Amino acid sequence: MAIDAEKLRTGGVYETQAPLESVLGDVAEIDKLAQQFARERKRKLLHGFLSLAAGVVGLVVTVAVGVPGFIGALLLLAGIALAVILWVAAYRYGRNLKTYRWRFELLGKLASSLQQDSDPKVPVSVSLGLKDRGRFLKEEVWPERKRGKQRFSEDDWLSIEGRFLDGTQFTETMQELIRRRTYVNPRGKSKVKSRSRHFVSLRLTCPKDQYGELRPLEEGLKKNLRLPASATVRGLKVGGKSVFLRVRVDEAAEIPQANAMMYLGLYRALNLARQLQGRQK
Amino acid sequence: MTPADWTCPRRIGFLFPHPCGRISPVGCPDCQNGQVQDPYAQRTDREGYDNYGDYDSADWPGATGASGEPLNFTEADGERLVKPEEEFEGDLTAS
Repeated sequence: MAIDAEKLRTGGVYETQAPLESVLGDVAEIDKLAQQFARERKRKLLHGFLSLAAGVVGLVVTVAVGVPGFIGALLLLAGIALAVILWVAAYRYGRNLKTYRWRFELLGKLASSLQQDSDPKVPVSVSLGLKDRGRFLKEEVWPERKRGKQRFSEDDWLSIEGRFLDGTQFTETMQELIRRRTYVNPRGKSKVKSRSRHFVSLRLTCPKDQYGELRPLEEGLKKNLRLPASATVRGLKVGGKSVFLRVRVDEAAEIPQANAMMYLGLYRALNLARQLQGRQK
Repeated sequence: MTPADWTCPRRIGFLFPHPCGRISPVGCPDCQNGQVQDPYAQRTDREGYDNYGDYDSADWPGATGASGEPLNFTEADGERLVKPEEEFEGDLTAS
């Protein structure tokens, strides 16, 4: 499916309902767009320098040929103004894809992993945020620092839903919780510090005829679940035919690993349930 | 030479085993041209889960068979995990 470059650059959202192979193709296309935007940023940056240089040359030439000084000054000011406009545009152009590159790269890894146990023709629903869509949660005084304040927001940046070959439905969401602290340091300067924590939630709903009752596996699941160092379990619910796992990941770099380990941990229990169910038949 | 009506009987998959069903092992990323006998069980990329297919009854206290017998799986139990492709296909058309 062709990506609308302008919509992605300004809107910062990628949404689709397509097979995983198509999603992987889109991720490759987004990567190409990110590279194209980077080249455009460099071009604008260079044009800014050229505008500044043209202003300086204009000033020098007008002085050399004896044209009234204010014309040279006007040329220089125009060159500086144009350079500033171009540099600001260069900074902002397609910046979301630069800042959130890790998000579409992660979607690529996830789609590639899910593909191994999915039907290539069955569509999945994907919604990926490639800009800060943080929803304000609360703001409070941070008493430890002079004029300290902390503001919390959350950004639900990924949701993906689909079905595996065994008929199990998967629903996964990723959320970034952002804490932004502002304060004045002892030298009177205003400071801003941001910190992010990531939450990955995964629900698997299984066909009961194949997997039977899942509740007896809850204790074993708690005992055998493994996650990377910066990840902790924040919620685990085992129902009759579904399991839900919510994990907090402190290091963004560990999200792909945590994500893979969540699927493996849950499916290890499901495979056991399926074997036990098979014995009963 | 692979017979014309041959389909690969090997188990593949990352999370759970399912039939390969390819019509030739040539260029297959799972069995690597027929070199790997059980691509599902012989995977080494399940980070943190080296013993993915092994279950110790001490680690899975609630998981017992219908009559309460402890976990002691045979090869037949593992094979039962792999459903024939037709059943998956049938499931997909239901959507």
